[in-house]
Amino acid sequence: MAAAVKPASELNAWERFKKDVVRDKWLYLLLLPGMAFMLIFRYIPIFGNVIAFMEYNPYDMAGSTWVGFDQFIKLFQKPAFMKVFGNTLYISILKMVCGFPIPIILALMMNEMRNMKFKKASQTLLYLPHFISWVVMAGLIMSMLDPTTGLVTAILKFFTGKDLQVLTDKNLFVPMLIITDIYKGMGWGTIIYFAALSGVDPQLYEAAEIDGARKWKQLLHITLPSITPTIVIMLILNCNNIVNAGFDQIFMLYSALVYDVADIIDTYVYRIGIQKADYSFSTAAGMFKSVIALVMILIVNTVAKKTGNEGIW
Amino acid sequence: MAHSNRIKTSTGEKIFTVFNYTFFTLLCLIMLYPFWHVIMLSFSSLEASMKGGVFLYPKGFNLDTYKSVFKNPQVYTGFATSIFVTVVGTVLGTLLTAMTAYPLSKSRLRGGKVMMTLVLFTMIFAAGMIPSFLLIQNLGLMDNRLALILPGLVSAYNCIIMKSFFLSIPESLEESARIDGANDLRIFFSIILPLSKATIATIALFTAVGYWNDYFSTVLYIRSTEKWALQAVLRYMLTNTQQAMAQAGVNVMAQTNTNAETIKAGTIVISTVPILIVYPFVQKYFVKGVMIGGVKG
Amino acid sequence: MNMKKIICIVMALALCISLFAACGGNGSSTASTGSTSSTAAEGGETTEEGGESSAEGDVIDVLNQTEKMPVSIAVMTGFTQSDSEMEKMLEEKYNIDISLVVLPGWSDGQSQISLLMASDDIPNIMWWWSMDTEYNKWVQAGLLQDVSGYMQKYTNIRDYYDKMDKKTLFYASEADGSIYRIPGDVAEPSCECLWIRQDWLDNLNLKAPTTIEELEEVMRAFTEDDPDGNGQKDTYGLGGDGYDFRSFWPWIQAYDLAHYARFCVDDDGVVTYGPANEGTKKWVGDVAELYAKGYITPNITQDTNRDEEMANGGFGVTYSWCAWNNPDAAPMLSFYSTNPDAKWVPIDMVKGENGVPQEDPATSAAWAYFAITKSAQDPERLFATYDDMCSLENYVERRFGREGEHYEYDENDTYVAIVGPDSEENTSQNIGLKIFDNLFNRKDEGNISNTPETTALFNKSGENSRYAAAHLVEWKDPASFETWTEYSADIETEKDRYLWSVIAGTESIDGWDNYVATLNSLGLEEVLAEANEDYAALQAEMEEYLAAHE
Repeated sequence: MAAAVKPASELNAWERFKKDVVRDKWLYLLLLPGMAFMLIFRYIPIFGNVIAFMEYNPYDMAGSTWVGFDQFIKLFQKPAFMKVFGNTLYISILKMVCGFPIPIILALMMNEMRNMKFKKASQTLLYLPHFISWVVMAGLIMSMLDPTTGLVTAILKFFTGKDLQVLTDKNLFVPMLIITDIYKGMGWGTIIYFAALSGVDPQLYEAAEIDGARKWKQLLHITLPSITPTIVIMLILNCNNIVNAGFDQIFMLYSALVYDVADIIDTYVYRIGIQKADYSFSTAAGMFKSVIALVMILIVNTVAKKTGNEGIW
Repeated sequence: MAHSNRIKTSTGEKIFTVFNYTFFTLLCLIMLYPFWHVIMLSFSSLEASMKGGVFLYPKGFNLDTYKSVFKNPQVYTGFATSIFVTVVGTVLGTLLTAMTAYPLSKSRLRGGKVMMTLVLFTMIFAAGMIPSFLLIQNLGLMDNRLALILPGLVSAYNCIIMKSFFLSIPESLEESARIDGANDLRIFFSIILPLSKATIATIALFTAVGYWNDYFSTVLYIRSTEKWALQAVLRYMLTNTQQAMAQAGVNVMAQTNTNAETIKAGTIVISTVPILIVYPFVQKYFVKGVMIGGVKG
Repeated sequence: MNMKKIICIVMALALCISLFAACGGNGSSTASTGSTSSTAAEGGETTEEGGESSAEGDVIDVLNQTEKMPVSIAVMTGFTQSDSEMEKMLEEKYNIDISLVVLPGWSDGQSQISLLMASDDIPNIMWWWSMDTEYNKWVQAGLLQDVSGYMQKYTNIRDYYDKMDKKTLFYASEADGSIYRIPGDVAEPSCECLWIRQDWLDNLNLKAPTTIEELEEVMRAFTEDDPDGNGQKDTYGLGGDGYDFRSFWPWIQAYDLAHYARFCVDDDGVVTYGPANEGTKKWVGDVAELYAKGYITPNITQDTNRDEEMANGGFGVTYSWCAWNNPDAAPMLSFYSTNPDAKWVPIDMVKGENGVPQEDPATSAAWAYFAITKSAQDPERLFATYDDMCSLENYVERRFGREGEHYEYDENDTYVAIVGPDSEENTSQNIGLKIFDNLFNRKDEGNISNTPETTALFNKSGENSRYAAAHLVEWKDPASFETWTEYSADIETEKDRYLWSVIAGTESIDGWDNYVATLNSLGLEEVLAEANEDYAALQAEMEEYLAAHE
């Protein structure tokens, strides 16, 4: 398309470049604040990760020294960190395995609804928790799970006959995290699939009806294949989250009683870094996490492309 | 043949339809109940809140909880900060996102791909808590409400949604404006932006919700209690019951019909109400906006 | 295409370089702040010398200062609204301008303290609790002022602590005699005792327990025999602040060398880690059994608030503050307003296996400290001002207000609040009683709200805690205890996790050996080796100090 404004061909590459830049000066001007923002608030912190290679003293910066990979070595030698890393993977993978298919199923079920008013109303309610902060959600969860007055506690007691204290029971804490995470996110997750479903050509279904294909067949042969690209992309984006087990959620709900199963890299970074002011060590932990995420998404994206699906770039 | 087939399908369909509607009715009730519960709890009496159980209606209706909640000066300053941060952040953030995404949607732009890659990269590689914190500190923004606004202005994700919407606008519209002598700036502000209402509303909603729900920035960057965001005030009340209740003016002598549970419920309600009010109005836009934008960059 | 890739790489490189340059710039600027901080530290030394030379004359008259001094103070609890009546009174009196830096509650408080200390605007007076490692870094970085010289000239604070317990200032000072941290709050020798519902005992025809077995039987009866006579099984034996081991003190004191957090020392001077000792295995086992039987409130394993549960009349035994004996004690007022016929009474500690009933001893060292930081323009005037605020009458005025206006004495000479420091009016009328709570609290006659009975209770608890105190180790500088600094986070996390899990019933006490093995693998053996060495040295140092300050 750039060719549309391309002038005489005798101009060399550099001159063409200059001419294009001058032509698009207003676009560059529009772009300037956004890119400046990205530079300052996204890239400088990325390079700020260099303190992971230092023994950084926040109280006396002159006392900071370069230590190479020492912080990382310390990190991997610390059993506490390996535990935290394991917890992170465990929680995020469970969240993904349990939480990923649900929005797809919900979207497909809702897509079959013919009563538009009902559909709208249930969409409105299902999206709602996504817009509620984890602080408020934590308040709701604590209220529902209160050992003496909580409604869910009473329901659990009815079924199990036991006084279960979900928030402090390390066997129940992680399932609680998974369920509340699904609760908060499943409605919103459907919206992407609605977008994909609305793109399916209605003529395909009409043709199928005429051929006598049942709903089930239509689902398998028309609906699912047409939303597969979206599913793959969501899967790739999810893989980036494999080291994000949900800081806000856990930070609001956990206590030392469940550190064993609920302490994740982010909460660890916060406690060691901000609370104990060990900036370098916790930055190393955070950086390790970011690198894993990056590697994961690169692998999955490549695999997706190799297997004939579209990647995210 | 075809006839009988159709009847068969419709019986199966009927069963499915009944199941489908029942299922979603139940699901909606489950979604709604916790919110309903705290609202009713906040209007209930002390004794009822201690007993717990199901709250379909307020038990021992009274307004003491809200009288106490609104006695707490932190609730007012929290509201003020949150509203300020959300309004300024949303207006600036949405504008900046559109301004960034528009040039990037032009394939003729030299360096556009590189810059798009730079934007994308921020989505897949996070800088981490400590370096971000040090940045704010070095910028001298500690204990400044700007620290609650600036880091969240533009997200790569919103940029992508915006960009793919701009890609769907037919080039011909711009071309005719260009012939009339309009430059890119004018085209952007007087043609593109008005066309993008639904997407802009979506991005604005995402941004606004992000700002409204943010409490962690307050934990990291804000010291003065009068600059705390409302969510941080709420978190403080949830985790420091005793102190917070004293501040909230809940008299420990139990002369009022409130306790920590009802006060928490009341604070949860008032901090969620703004979202509940705005949400239905914007909802139609974001469904449309996301559908147009899609996810693919 | 290739061209584009090259441009891409070049741009990325340029970006990197420019950013590194930017970082470099930051680095040099920070280096310069570093050097100013070291000069500030030198400055501190010179003023200190000046202070010593002028110890006789040249005392700053804080009441007659012409220049207004800005003072920023970090506070956690106590009154935290700005421009209160008390604040204005202090500002006028000393010609200062106070600004409060309010810390965000106990859960995020230490984070904020760390952040403040690493920032460019450290409050002039910093307050903190249990951050020993950080404290050492602050001293090394020259962030805190040595006030030992000032303490010789302005003596209200020093005199008070020397009167109460000479060890307090020993624990606050450095080996070379300098003092960077001023004790903020030091508890009474013991400030807790066992409380029981007398009306429930009467209803069930029970006597006050004197042994652990009797106490457990009372708890059973309180749980199962409907002590409040309402026909419902809605009561428990023991209650307490949630997620706080101190709630189980009667069982902890029942065994020798048992504790939930501190190091213990036996009669031969051998130091052990309390939470890993046999005694702890026993008390945790006892408590877990009682919890499983339902004699303890289920909420106790969660971070919950005791006072509210108490007001509901939910339990009949608790280990709590002697100060509850005062007629103005807020939790008691709250309790009696909903349970007018009930009666809580303090009883003697019950006798356990070791036969020596003991109350929970407080440390000689402060649990919270404050310091004058390098950001103070005139540290001597600031110290002198604060010290003046700590004199007996000034403290009483700042804490309780003025007699006749905020409080009065009844015919028995007992303090009666008109506007109490914890009352709603204090907040709603912005009076500011209890301003700077935890930055120096008097436990002597300055605490006028204690009735004679309460004072007697404190004295008794104090006396009945010396055996336990003698068997607990108190470190002077935990941060110099290197192996502990290194391993304590992991060890304590595991300790808290396991002990609470056993109490909550999610782990078995049979896993005890495993738990001790885990602690050892986390470094406990090394810690104990160093602990025994350090303890001997500490005892010697303390004896020397006490001899010198006789």
